[in-house]
Amino acid sequence: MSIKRLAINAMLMAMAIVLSIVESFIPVFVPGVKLGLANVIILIMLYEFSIKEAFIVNVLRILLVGLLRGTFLSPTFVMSLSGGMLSFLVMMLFSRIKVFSAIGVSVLGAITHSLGQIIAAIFLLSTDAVIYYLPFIGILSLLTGIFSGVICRLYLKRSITSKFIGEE
Amino acid sequence: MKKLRNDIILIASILIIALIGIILLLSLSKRDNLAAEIYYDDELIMTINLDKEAEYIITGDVSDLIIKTDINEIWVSESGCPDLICVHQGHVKSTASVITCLPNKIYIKVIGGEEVDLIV
Repeated sequence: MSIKRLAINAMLMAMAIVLSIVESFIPVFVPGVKLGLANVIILIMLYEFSIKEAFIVNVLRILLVGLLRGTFLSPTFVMSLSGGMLSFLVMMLFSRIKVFSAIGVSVLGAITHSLGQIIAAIFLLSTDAVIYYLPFIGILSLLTGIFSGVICRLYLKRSITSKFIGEE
Repeated sequence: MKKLRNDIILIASILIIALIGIILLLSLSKRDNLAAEIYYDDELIMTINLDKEAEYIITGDVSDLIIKTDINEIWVSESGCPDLICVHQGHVKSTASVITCLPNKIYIKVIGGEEVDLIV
């Protein structure tokens, strides 16, 4: 990995962390639902970088945001880890299988992120009562997913990454 | 452009499934003769009949929860947890919803309908 590439990775991770923290102050109608702006960065990395790089940035982002917000190893942290991992897996698969554009992949990522969080909540509270949230959160994730998908698509169209790291 | 078409199919199908879910939830939910069950660490610790104005204090893992009730509604008015999802959720008036406070391991389930004879 070249130094340039490493620097870009670090910068993208910093951006993802800042977006994660900023979006926790932006409420989206239903408590607990976030815009998922950090997902834009992960999505861009899945398309323009390797899976390994995207994965490392995603895991480190979740860990560092947990440490920064003081939620490390708390139930909130377990929920974001579970959501983050599930959505990463799904987005990784669908960014490689070229069935959907970035918008579709982003929507799937947003939905599976909430799904992962709800699954974690089911285990943490050992109740299935939280399933009630699913349809409502589903619709909101759809909207936030489209939103971040459009941002990602605009980025990909401009081939900004290749301007930075050259012909790699 | 085939991909964009697939996107639209995906979005539409998720939307339809979620809407069906919401309609089912709302149509199956009850709004009268409600009672609330408060669980801590998956154990039922209290059952409240939602037939009057009242205030309860429940102690969770992180902080105390101040739970207020009125006729057929219940809400968490104060909590010391970091993200306050339980408080922001506001007033719950039907069985189609639960209030959860994950940091405190507390959740409030609204039950209702015919079960008026409660063992408190």
